[in-house]
Amino acid sequence: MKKTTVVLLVITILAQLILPGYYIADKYGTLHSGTVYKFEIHDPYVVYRGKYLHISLVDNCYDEQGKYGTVGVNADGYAYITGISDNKPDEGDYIKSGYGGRYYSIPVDRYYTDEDTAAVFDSYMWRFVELPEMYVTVRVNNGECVAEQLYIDGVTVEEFVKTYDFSKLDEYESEYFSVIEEELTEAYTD
Amino acid sequence: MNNKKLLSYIGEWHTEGLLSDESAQILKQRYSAGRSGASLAIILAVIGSLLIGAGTILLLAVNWNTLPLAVKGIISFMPLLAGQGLAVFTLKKRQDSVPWREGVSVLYTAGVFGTLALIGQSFHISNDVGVYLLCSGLLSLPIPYLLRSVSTLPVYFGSVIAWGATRLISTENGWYLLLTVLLVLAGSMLILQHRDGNKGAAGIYAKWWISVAVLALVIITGTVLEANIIVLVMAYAIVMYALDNGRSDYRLPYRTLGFFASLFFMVVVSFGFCWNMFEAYDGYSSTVVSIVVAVASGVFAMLVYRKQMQQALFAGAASLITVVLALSDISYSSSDDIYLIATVAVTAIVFAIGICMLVKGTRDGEYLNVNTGLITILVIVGRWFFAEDFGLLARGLVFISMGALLLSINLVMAKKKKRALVAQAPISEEESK
Repeated sequence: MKKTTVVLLVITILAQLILPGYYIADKYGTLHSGTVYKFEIHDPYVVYRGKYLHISLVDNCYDEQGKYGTVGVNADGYAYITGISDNKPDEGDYIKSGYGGRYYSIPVDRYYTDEDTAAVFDSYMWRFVELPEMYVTVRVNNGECVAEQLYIDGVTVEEFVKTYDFSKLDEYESEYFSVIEEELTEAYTD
Repeated sequence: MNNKKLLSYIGEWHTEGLLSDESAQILKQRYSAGRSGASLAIILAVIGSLLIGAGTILLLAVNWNTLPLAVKGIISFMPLLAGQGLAVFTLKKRQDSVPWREGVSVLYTAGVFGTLALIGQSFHISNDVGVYLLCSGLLSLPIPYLLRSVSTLPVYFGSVIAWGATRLISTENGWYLLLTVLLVLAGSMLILQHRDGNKGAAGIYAKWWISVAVLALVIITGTVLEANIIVLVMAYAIVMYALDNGRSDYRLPYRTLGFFASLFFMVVVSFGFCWNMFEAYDGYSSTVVSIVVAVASGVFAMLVYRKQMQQALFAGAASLITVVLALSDISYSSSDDIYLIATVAVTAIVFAIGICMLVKGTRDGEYLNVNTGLITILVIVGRWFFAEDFGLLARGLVFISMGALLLSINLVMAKKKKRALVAQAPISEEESK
């Protein structure tokens, strides 16, 4: 091997190890020492046939430009962004904007789970007449944030899929449709 | 022509005494089965490595969610470490084997992309595909340089161009365009390792992907700067034709990409609604660019007319059309009649070029020109068949006119051939006496 090839090989190997290593250390640090916040979410869904659920935070549509969003908690215990600015906030937790777009956004939009959980949850999701409480816990530390766990009805999504009696949905559904049918019949009779 | 057929011809020419023993031997060696066997080995190595890489990632994905985070972190590095180990082994022990170098290059690149994807999954990292592509692309850039391989070049170009496009669209910041150009340039420098480019398959392959990457950059630049993309594509076609420099080697990308880019340009402007679109561009700068491209195309057409008819025809027609485009920019005409006339005129020009290519190709026995002419005619006929901007009556009349023109040309050619045969007949009788 030529000397230049050896040098290039060593630099390449080091760079390829350092960058992902730093990434892991950074995210792991956030998960380890970050503050936990609950972010309310809309109904998650499976994108194509992947094994993650696409989640959209209820409050993540900002028309303001800025790099940093200060995190606050509302009366229901859910986190939200109280203010957006280009300067790092002096106090409190903040989240750096994601995606490099023009407007501020929290970089949390997916939750990876096993293939079965994602598929089962997605197939039953649309059958809920009344959606259960859904939120994602996010660890925040020095502007970095990492999604930790997705909760449905107070339990993790994996637990929910395993323990929830989905046959109840049939009852809810038939009850719901019979109510609608009654209402329609009444409306036509009048 | 395939190698088997060529080898049989070489045998025949050797027997007939057209080729010397030495020449026949050299030609037989050059086109022997060994060469195609080597190509097959490279292709199989690349596809096999790709399948192994994809399969490993899928296997790791099973029950991924149940693993502890630390284990996930360690496993995430496995594809990358495997790639690095194989690269070191190849550089030490298999440096002269092209299938090894190409195969390991694919596996190594898949390892870089796979490792970053697995880390993304472990920490539910959000949908910033652009950053993922840029990081993976940059980390895999040295691989083709180290292993003197070319297979992964389209992956690198695709990654950095996709990153640049997403960043430019979301931020409209011109610096990202400059950065994307520099990144494409960094990948294009690989061609320096394959200086025998016009002979070796690796060099030709690299040139194809570099040319495609530049075309993608041209389109992205046009989109971001809100410039006239169609005129920019035409400028690209002219540059491609100039680079081709009259070489009849159709394995090189310049002539083929130049032809398809200019055909695209002409077919697009043959749609009436596109002419309305031109008015949407910033009048002054758009007109200036159009005029510059028109002049350059015209000069190029005149310079190469005698040597390269196909290029000259396309460039000349493009120059003419670009002048009309520039004039329509200046006049800012809102009359639909102008667009109707322009549409018909462009269609007639493209159809005429197709026929010229077909006739010249048939007469000279140049299959490349025959195919080019046929593609041109088929594209313009196809465009008119599905043209919703014209009624059935208009389309019917156009088709009949095109058909009648083709038949007339056929008739004229048949008459010429007959006359030539009649003229030759007395000479052969005299010769026989």
